Amino acid sequence: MAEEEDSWQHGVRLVLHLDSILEGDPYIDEIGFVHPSQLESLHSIGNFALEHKKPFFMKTRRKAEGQGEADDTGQYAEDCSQRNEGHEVEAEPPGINPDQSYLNNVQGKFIDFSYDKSAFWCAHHKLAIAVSALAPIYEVARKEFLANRKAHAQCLTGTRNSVMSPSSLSFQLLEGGLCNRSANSRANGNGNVQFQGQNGAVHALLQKNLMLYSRVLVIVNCDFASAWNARKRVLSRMEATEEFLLAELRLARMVLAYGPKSEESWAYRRWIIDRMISAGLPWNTVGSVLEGDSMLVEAIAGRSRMNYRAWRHRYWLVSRMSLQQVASELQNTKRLAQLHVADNCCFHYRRCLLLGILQAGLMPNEKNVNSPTLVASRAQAGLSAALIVNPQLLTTLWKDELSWNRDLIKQFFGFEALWLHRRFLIWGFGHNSKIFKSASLPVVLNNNGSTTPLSEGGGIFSKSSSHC
Amino acid sequence: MEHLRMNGAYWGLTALDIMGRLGDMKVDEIVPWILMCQDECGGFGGNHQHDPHILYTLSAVQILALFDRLDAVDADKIANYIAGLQNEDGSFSGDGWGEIDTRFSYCAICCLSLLKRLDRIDLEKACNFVANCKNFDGGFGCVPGGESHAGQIFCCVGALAIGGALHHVDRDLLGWWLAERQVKAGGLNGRPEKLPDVCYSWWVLASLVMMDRMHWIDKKSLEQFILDCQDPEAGGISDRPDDAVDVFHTFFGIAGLSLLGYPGLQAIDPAYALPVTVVDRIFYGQKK
Repeated sequence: MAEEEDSWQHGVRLVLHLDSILEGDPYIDEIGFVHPSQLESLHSIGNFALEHKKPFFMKTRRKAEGQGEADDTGQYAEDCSQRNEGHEVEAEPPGINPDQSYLNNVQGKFIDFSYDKSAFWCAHHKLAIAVSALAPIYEVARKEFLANRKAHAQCLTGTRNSVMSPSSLSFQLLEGGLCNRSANSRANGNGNVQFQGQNGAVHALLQKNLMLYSRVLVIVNCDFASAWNARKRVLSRMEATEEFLLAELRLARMVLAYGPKSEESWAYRRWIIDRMISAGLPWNTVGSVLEGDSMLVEAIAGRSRMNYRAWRHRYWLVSRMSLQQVASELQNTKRLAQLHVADNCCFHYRRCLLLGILQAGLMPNEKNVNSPTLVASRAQAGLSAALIVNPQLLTTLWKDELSWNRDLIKQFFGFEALWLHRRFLIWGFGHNSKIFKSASLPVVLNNNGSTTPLSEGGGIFSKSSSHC
Repeated sequence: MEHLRMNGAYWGLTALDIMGRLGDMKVDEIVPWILMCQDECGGFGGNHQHDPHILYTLSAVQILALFDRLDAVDADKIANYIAGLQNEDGSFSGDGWGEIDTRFSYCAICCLSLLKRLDRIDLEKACNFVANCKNFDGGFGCVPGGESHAGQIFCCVGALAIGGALHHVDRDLLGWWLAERQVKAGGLNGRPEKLPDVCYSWWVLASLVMMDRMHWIDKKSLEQFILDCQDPEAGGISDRPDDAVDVFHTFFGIAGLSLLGYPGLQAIDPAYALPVTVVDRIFYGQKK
């Protein structure tokens, strides 16, 4: 009775199931691609009780010989910056980020509808997909995405003479109730855009499909930029609600769990955050998101060491933070830096924070400062006079950093990152004499036995023309 | 990885040209495929039906340059697309969605230079933005204040070299930082404390060549490191010895060897990342 499904129908079924799972549990925070045998193991463990801090699955290093089938080689771009360095991917403790805070109240949930167990496993907000399912899912999602995108664009420009029927798959999704959607599902923004008559209904369908297929695409191929762009296009046309934007952040987080170097995913988070700011969302919300993103980077950087893209995102956040947050970040990352003295990214982040505070010190009386590191929204955050940096405070901060750096070097001699950081601190004194001159500074011992404050004649770095 | 096929094509074809084997490829199939990837705005996507982006636009123009088929495109249309991506501060966005990165500055300047339309952008502002991305250690990051990274450094030094603004580079300071990328095994890493990777053989080396500091690293041991990364069975080159090969690392390994003067390879231009003969043909009209 059971006939061989042709590969297209197989892919269609898998896409529908994946979409149903994602709709059924909108709070999935981790995705992994596993060998079918690993999937069997997951299903066979009854009453699965996953502690959040334990590794969800193991990613294997790409090997030249004897490459196991468990390698999810389809996930890596040829650009080596995308390569995973073979670390385990761990689930984070829930609830520490704003887009995850709901997890504090959400009980462990099992998807209660039937899905293809040879392709998926989902429980406790974790989703595993068999690597063998990826190609068929991708094929279908890609084709449907492109078809819907074309039809959507034509609908928007009114270039269609008649209603062009989207693919039969898309109609199934809307009419057949094959997806586990409730009327009160998460906000999707459709209600915010009014369209007339039949064209309006088709437009709504196409938009819904675009969001469906683009989501599947970015999950299977995190750097499929066109899919991320389609989501931005849809979001640009609708009212940006907090709930909806947080849901988009959850999607990016899901993807970053398995693709921590995905530049498209990080860029998407930045776009969403800027959307939140431009939509005028309350500063408390934005501030929490910034803090949450900073912690997300820290969690990801813990398992994907010296991840340039992750840390780049973190110091982008600094440009959106209030001065109070910047000072708090400096304090909070000290312990992390001490644990990872070889991690140049960590120390570079501290340099960004110090430079941010330094710039505030150089322009102490301007609330609405328009500079690379301060945005007008900081005025909204309520800068108080106490936070305006005075030179003495800044000097103390700098000297403390220098002294802490000296202690670390004594303890962990030979780490390049520590010495680079020291060079920066000394350079900082030399290039900001205006702000440091009134304070008592470290001195340089000259050949003739006299001393010169570091702020004068910056020594070996004086040739550098770079500015802070 | 079909979304970045345009990049992959550039890596593979340029590697072939350096090895003198570009003639093995069917230009009559490749050029039409490239044109199919062009969006109506003038930019190119990574593959057919993919959104345009400055990264793939550069690769597309580079491939057409390899085949001496720049006549196949409307250069003004591409130039307008790129010029439209320049921001007030001189930086470039990768596409209409606004992400800024010095890689995009390099793509813009390199691409427009190959099309001989550098006058379509504010070149001085573009170079000043790149200069603003210089750090205390002499290196460059992706944005002002970004961590120094060999890949970003290549893009910045390349952009400044093509843009005629290399005076912004502190050659001794940056040369020192780049020279420190060489590890004991001879390979080069991209940042402090990272593992060596063959692709940095290109980015670090090309930067040093542009700054006239290539003699600051041990060329022999680097050459040996790259050769150790070749898989004798598969033929390609991997990021480090015994890892799986891919076209990305194969190209950068070949390019690095070419810079080192390895026999049997065509010379490669360190700024344009194309064979010198191709660059000469564009600027001096010499036949290949």
